[in-house]
Amino acid sequence: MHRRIYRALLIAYPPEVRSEFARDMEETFHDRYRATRGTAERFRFWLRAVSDLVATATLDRLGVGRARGLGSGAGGGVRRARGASMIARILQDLRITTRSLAKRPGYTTVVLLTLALSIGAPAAIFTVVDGVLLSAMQYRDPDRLTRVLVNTGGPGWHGASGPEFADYEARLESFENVAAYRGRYTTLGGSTAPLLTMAVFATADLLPMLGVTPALGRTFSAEEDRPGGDPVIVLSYGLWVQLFGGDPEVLGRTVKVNGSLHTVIGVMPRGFNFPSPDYQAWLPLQLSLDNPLARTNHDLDILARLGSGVPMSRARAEVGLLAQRSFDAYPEFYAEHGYRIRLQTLRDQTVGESGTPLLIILGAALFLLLAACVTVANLVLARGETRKREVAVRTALGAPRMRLTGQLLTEHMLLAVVGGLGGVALAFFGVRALIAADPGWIPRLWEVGLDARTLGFSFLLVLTTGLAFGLAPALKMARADISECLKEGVRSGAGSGSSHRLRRTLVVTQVAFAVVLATGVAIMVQTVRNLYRVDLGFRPDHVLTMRLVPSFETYGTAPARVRFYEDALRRVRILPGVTEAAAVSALPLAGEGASNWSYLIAEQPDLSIGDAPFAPIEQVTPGYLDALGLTLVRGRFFNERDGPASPAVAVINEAMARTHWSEEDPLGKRIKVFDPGWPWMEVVGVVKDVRGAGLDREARPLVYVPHAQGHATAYLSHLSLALAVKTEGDPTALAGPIRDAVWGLDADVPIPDVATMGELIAASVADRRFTMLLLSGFGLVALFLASVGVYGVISFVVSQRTHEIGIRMALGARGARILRQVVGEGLLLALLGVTLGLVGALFVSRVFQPLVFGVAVDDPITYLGVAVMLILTAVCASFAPALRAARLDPLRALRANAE
Amino acid sequence: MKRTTRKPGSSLPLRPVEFHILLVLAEGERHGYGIIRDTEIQTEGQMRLETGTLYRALRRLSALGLVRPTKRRPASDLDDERRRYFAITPMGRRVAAAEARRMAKLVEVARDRDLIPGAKVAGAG
Repeated sequence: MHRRIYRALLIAYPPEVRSEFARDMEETFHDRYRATRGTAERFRFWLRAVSDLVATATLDRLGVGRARGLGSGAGGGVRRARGASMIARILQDLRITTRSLAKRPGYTTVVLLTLALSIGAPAAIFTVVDGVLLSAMQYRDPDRLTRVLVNTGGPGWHGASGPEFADYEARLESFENVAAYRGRYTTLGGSTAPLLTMAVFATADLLPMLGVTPALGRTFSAEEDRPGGDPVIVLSYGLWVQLFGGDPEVLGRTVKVNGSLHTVIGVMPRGFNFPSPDYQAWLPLQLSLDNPLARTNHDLDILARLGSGVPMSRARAEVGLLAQRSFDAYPEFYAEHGYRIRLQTLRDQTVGESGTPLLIILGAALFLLLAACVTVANLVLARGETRKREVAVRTALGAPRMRLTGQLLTEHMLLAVVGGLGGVALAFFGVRALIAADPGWIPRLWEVGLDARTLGFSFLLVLTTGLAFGLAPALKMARADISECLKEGVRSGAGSGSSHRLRRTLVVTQVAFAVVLATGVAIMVQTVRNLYRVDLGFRPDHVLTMRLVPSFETYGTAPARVRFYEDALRRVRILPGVTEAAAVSALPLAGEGASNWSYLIAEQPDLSIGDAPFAPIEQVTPGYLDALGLTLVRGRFFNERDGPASPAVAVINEAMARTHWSEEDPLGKRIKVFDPGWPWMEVVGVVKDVRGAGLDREARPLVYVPHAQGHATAYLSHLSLALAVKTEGDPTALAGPIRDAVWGLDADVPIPDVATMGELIAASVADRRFTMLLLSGFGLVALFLASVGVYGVISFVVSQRTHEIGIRMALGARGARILRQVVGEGLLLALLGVTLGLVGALFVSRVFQPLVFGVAVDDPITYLGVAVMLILTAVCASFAPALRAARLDPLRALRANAE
Repeated sequence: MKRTTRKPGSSLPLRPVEFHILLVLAEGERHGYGIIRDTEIQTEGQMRLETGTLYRALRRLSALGLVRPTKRRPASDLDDERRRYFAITPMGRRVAAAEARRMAKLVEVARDRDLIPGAKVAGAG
């Protein structure tokens, strides 16, 4: 192994050298390697061998010092010699540096590791931030692509309805194009091997608007997009390969989409994945506006392209005006809840809320880098103290100061560069690990990779780092007073007052950085803890979930769907280890975003659809209460007798009971969906609120209806439901058996999204947890660095004052007093640092505002806790040297200095 | 042959590394690791040659005609690799001798000026 590595490294030499000596060198290296024993010795051996190789290979490559009369001719020799001598001097500096660094492997390793880690972390995070937030999207003029979002009451922003979209298309002049689309689970292929994927159903404008040309064929036309138009499909590159083996003659062939044949008219290029890589096919939306109530169905995503030269502000003013006109024109739809339109660039929308945590993490990483710079500067200064004499002697012997400063700076730059290379390597693996671990909330993570920009950023980091920690000490050492140093040199380890002052300042800074990072950690830890303490309203433990997507062909009718789920659940329920199994249209915290439906309440005045209240309607099977551990507050939950033929029933949550019947008993009250012709449902039970939209979101009104009655009371019985299975033991162990049980009933049902309820909850707070975990890592490192810094300075103070302490103890000072005094020194540094850090944290912590939950960003208790922790750490760090001082033998201390 | 007509003094002063290598080879042929080991013994551990530095020096020495590679021989532990040995040339001996004389003169001068007191009262202190 070692041989192979060395052989690979030999490539550094010029070819003529290699052809003659490579084999001999490898042999000799091997012999020497065999003569070394032990890890430490091997490490030093490698360090020396590699630095020797780099130095000699560079000299060879530059032709420096080549034997005269052999290689270089006479012509141009002078100029070359002069250039070479300068290069040779730099190289000599480098050689001296590598040699002196190799002599101190401990120091070198610590510095390199610190630098590699602290450059690697920001480089990795920058790569992600750059890829996600900064780099251009692959579409034409991506910054003019705008999402149009609508709010018609309730929290958050959603898509537009068909008629609203028609308004935008007809009226808005700020935009070149307006397109509508919606994504759906879609089954592709015949009955033998159906493939479940996500497909986009879009108006004809969408794909041309993105400005991506198909790799094959064309996108669909406006004619094909009309209701009743030809069924056509555009495939993704991946799907084209998967379904047709990449056949170039694919155009004109057909694919079954949800049971009906569609003609392939185009294939998008590799890497095209609007709106996300989950989407594999694009089909015409064929929007029809027949339904008189269509204006309330906000199920279309809208993408528009801003006209060239049109400022966003003008577009905003125009949509505001349009919303106002529609509000006046359709009071029956908007009077009660209003109508608001919001514009957001596609980039902002894609990146959305993930920007804040990412920027916080990047900021924390940079903070850590600063803390590391301070640490390294401190190490360099400490080392400078021991080298001072060497520097002084060399100056006295006539070495020019410029050269000395240059040499010291060379050393620091070399450290920064080597550390930086290590950092880039770390960043490379860090990014790979990050993509592999995909925390789920970072959009466009699939596009991220280490590129020239990251390398440029890292180079910048290295340069500034090298200067930051290297320049001041280098100047300082070279400027030191020679005679002073030579005199002082007798006392080894003693430093000048000014450099000591600098080191103390650096330690104070370190503590301050640690305080800022620790405050961020404390805020995030409390946020995550508070989130997990929230009363979910259900019991998530031992629950396995998955989605079933039966084919529309086989289960076209409501009875077939109801029977399918009854049969499937019966099969799952008898599996050993299963306590209860149920199905639901949308699981809580799964991010499935249930639609809101308008409803009416019996014995209350008839309202227009715009004025009627609205809530999500969940379709569930009777076991849902027990499977998910919901709490029944009043009445009863559904049972097997609540079938299609029996009286229509509904169960509501407490939030809904509070909203409409705060003074009365909701049991026996009747509600119905808004559209005419649907029956009244009797409220038979009330369950405790479930936090479905997010752990930090208060529950809103919600209606549950039996899946078996869905087609009779709530428009339809859903085809695709999620299973929630309560188990006795480890729920993941049952994933296989449950799938087999369902496939025993129908082998063609795709079963995606298998996850435990715990995983769903974790995913719903993944951004905060991820931020917290990374911050905690950074915070711990910063804390460690700070305590090492305090320890170093206090140790130094003690060693410097050995003589003084010896005298005092000889004069009768007690150990305890010395101990107090030395620890007091550490405490003073800590207090200064903490004060500075707290002020900094107060400013910095504002960025956490969008993320925090249940804790204020300026919570005094948190700050106090951080302060106490840092001070304790500093006291602990100064305790060991203080103890050493207190236990000094006065006689030996005095003698030691006299020698 | 131009190289052999050169005077021994023309390549002086030798670099310390090169002088040590010539001293080792003056005793007999060595392969690379042998030179490293013997240099270390000869300087009582003061000089530890690195592989790259050694071969750079050997290259220069053979270019100057002071050292020449000899035939490859099987390694002592009988693995299949064959090592190249290096030998000092007659020119190399003359150059090493000239360097040694130069250094001896320097030592004389130093001793005359009482710079090496330890050499006269060895063992005291």
